[in-house]
Amino acid sequence: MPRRREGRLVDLEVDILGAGIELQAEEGDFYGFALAKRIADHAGAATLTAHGTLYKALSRLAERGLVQSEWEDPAIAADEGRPRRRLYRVTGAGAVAHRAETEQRTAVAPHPRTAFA
Amino acid sequence: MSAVTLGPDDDLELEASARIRHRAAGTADAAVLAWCRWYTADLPDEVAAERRAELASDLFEEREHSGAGATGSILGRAVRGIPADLAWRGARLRRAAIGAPRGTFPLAMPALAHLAAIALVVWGGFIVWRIARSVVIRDWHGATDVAELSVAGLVLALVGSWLLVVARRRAFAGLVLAVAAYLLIRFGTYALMETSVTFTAYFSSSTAQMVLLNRVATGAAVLFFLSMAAWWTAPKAVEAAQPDEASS
Repeated sequence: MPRRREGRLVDLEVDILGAGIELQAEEGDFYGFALAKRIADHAGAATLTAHGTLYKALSRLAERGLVQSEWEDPAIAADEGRPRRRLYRVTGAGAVAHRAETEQRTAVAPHPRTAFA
Repeated sequence: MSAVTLGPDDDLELEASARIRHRAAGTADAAVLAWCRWYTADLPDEVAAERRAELASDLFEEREHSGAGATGSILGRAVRGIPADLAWRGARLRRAAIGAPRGTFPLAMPALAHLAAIALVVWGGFIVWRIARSVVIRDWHGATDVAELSVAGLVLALVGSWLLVVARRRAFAGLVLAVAAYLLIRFGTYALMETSVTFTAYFSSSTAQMVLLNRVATGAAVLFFLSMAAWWTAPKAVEAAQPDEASS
């Protein structure tokens, strides 16, 4: 796993926040499998993020206040005959952190020669 | 977002929710959920219930999306996630330890108990292997009940080690392991004597010392596991120390 730099997000966290913001815009919130599927679709990957990796990262983001979660109303899950979903939302702080991280990553690195100019 | 915030009894409802299986679910799903039950077994109830319910939901949704073809993906995701599962579990246990009252040793005591249980299982396995080997080569001259009690001791040691994983069963595990320790050390030593020429020679030359050693070792091991049972009989405040675990 890549070493985390202070205040920065690791690749998976950027992917989670990015995919989460998209899903949230479409559905209002998102849950684990939908998130894993969206991340894989973006990356063009055949495999989904591992369960442990995904939920550990979501737990870490929740602790930092970048996502928040609530459990789905049990009546809705019961009506559809499935287990309850844990519904996540990217918080305002999460959206800001994602934007800042994306901008830092896409910023053009200075040409080596300019460092000696 | 049609959602609810968890109440104090909702971990039971989540456990019930986690038992719902997709019609296409197979042994792979059961194995993944069993692994989850194992690594969450001694975590606080709310934290464990949330992880199990979240994983059950993920498996259901993947089956709903891909049907029977999801088996390979489900197994692959579970195996690749094992390091993260264990790291998450470790972090949760450390957090519980930080919030625990002084003198409860929420990490050291289970670790010591697991270590002792493993040592007992290894000893029992060695004894039973020696007995089995002697029987196979027709060299067993010991009493049948010594062999039977040794095998029973190993079975009890395995059951006790399994029970030890679940926090709320640790007191009972201590009792089971105390009986196992008595059988495996008291009678296991005699079984070993029947299967080892060196041990027999040593026992014959120092009988009084060996009998004393056998009784002291048996007493110490039984006392250790009984103390463990007593330690976990009284409710510890570890679980109660972090009521907001589930909200993170």
